[in-house]
Amino acid sequence: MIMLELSRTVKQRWFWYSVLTILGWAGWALLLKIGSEEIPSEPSLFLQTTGMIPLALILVVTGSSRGPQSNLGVVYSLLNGIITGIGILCLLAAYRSGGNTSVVAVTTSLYPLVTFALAILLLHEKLTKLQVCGLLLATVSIVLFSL
Amino acid sequence: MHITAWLMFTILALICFGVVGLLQKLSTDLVSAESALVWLIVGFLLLQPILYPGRALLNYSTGNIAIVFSAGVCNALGSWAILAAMKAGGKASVVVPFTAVYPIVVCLLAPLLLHEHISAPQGIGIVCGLGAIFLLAS
Repeated sequence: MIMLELSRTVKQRWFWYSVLTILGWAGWALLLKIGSEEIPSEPSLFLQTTGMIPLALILVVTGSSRGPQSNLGVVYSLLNGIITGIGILCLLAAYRSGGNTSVVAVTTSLYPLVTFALAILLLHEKLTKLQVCGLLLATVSIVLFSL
Repeated sequence: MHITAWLMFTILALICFGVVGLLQKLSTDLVSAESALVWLIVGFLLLQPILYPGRALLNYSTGNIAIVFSAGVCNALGSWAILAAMKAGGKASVVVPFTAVYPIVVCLLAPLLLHEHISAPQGIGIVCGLGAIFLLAS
């Protein structure tokens, strides 16, 4: 039964896009680890954000970002960037104001639980029991990586 | 109850990152993943004046600047892919925890690229993460 569901999922595009996200963010984390030996957090964040500009420019110039526009969609996307940035600034502030590195890292890494709760409440998404087990296992995994 | 500054900032960061997962889904319900990414980056850029390090940038080696810049390119690719995953019908409650296990790849590559060792908790984390991917995809 699980294998049947799994074989169905791997045929879906969202699965492979998610795998690509994992690879992209793993590359981001590895490069950041190397670069952070010399460059502190704030200048690093400035440079990282600058590094995001070329892809945005390519999408704009090639017209890939065109298509049906929605003002609300644009507002959500803008907020997405602003809130991510604020989250990172809060994270840096937490480290700077004396927070224990492990506690701060573990606590903030639990963000999928917040998204999960909001998605259930506001988007009325439903998960199977197996997926809920997966969410819990992912949480354990993320906490272990943060230690 | 006394809430210390670091705890308040930590909780704020947790809420921000959690809300972002929801916004990713809400935005891609209305615009394309590519458009959502462009506006996301514009949102990021609004914070650049706060982060601008000034002449301090000149003190860092070109190699390390290029590495951190490339990290930004990877981050943009990853961000585009998560938006595309949601646009393609992935649920926020599945895609966000699914993609949050990306440290698995870091842990597997770090010994090869950075000559680091995998600790016991990280080893267990890899097993749990793979199990999570399996269950979330089912």
